[in-house]
Amino acid sequence: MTTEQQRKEPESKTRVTAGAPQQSMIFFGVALVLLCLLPLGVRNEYYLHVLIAIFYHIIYATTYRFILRTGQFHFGAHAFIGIGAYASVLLVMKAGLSFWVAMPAAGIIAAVFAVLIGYPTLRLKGIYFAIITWGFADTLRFIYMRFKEPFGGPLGIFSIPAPDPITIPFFGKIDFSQKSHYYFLALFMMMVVLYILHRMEKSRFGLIFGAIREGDQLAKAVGINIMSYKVLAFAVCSGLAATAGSFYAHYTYYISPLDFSVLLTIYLAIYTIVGGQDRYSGVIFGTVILMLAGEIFAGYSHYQLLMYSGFLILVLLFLPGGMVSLPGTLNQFFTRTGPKQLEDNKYGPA
Amino acid sequence: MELNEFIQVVVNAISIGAVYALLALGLTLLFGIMDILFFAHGAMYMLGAYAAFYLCTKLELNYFLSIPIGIAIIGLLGVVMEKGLFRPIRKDHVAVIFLAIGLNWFLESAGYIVFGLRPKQVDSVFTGQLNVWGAIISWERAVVVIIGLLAVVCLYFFLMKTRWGLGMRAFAEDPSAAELQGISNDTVCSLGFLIGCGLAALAGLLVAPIFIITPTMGSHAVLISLLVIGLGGLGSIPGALISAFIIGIIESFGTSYLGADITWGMIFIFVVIFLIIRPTGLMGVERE
Repeated sequence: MTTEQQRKEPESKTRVTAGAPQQSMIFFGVALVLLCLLPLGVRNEYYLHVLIAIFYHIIYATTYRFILRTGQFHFGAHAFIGIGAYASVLLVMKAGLSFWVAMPAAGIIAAVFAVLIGYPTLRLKGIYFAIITWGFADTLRFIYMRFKEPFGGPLGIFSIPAPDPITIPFFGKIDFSQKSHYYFLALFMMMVVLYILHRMEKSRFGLIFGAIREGDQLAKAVGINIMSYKVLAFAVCSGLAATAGSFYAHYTYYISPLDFSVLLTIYLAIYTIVGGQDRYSGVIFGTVILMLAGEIFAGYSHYQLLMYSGFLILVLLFLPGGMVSLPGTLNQFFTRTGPKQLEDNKYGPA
Repeated sequence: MELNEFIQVVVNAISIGAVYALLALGLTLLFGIMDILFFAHGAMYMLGAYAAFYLCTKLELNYFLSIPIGIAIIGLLGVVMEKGLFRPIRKDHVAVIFLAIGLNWFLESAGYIVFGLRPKQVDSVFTGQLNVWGAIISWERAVVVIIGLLAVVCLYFFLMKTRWGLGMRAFAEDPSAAELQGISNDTVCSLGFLIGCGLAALAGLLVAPIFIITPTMGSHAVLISLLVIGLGGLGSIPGALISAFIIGIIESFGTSYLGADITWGMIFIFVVIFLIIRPTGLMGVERE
């Protein structure tokens, strides 16, 4: 009897988890097709700009979430985004490289920095890691501000060239003279990053990171080299975020040290927590919703921050799972079923 | 000349260190007792400075009268925050950190909206300078040093010698065991927030005549005090005091001999290397 139950338990769980990715895959496929067709209908540059901003913020936020999921309290995401932007701009403007070389190179440079910072500090628990990553980021900002050559000082670097024209089969030549070209580049980058992170999460790495988060002593005891996995995750995520930073620099044509202040990391943390950090859909949802809502206050950054942090406080108090857990919480609230019953219910919240 | 200059630099170091110690004190108390990294400490400090501005300059109260009033208002605000926001989710450490982050930037942006963008200044009460072996320190900074040291000593004796302090230390050791001994966890947390926010307000009120008051002063103060308490060992009050003066010395000597821009990087690198060699900081205790 007991063995039968034991056998039945994992089976029902696998059925649920096997169904969920398929649904989400279909959802993502439909969303991707719609997003690809969107520039054909939408000619308004403002809408495209908002979408592009959402795309690269999704890259920032999902990579940030991944580092949070390894159990590290990261407070220096803006440092690596800034490294990506500055490295790519300097490689293009000073070394004369093509954008298509500089962008991956910027990612690699940021990943190297992440290894250098991460290897000694990732062993520090919780708060210390936050202190050091924040301090690192602020030190970098001081360096950018201090050295006019080559970082441009407090004014930053302007008239950054657009990415070089590129010819893609079946698409024709893309010369970045229109917003829609940037749109497709950002969309493509976002999809690649989401795919990489998705694969990492679903693979052995994902399980290992889950184990590290739940109890790193136990993970260590069963023979997982925690440090190398943490450093790997930190480096990969920082590198991916840095490529998005590089895109940001060449998209806006202008970067300054103020673009990479701690507020950027605060925003990412808010997107992650408000959306719900347990699932990718949560982070993406949070980023999209909050950035769209933030457009109401575009130009009034204080009101925007007030709204965002207000959302963060409300979500932490009333909706610990984030906004994606809202349907489940409401369902639970109205049907007044316990969590145990909900778990058995196939048609309950996924 | 050489000696005079050296003494001047040392005096500057002490005056910078005292401000940092005062800043870090409330933060390290809240971390030591409750294991909460209270980011909103910076916002409380900022509110303290604005309280000095509004009480002294707008209402034209006596500066010495406005200090206790400001501390009381902001300490009570801290208690209200603890009761309303932190108590329901106190057990979840990650949520508590993010809640404090949200609060800090909520109050900061609210500060921009309420107080306006223009930097404020409070007129100095203490005028004149003090001559210490040929070095010159203005009286207002000397007062910060004296009150800062006094606050550290008072807090230390409060924690070590009084019944309330004993209760707080018991709570830090093991909350559930303390509860079984009749020490109310809720009371301890409220008291901790009262003292922590009160100390942040004290720091803000004291530095108001020295610094320019802007809504962003809090975030920068949080970063500095994080470095201070990280170097000193999280939760350790003597550690915070010592490390505040170490950072003050580095900053003062670096500014005088190397230039202000490089100093910040030096402080950071020093703290990082120190933490890598000794992850618990100067006087921190390894805790689960």
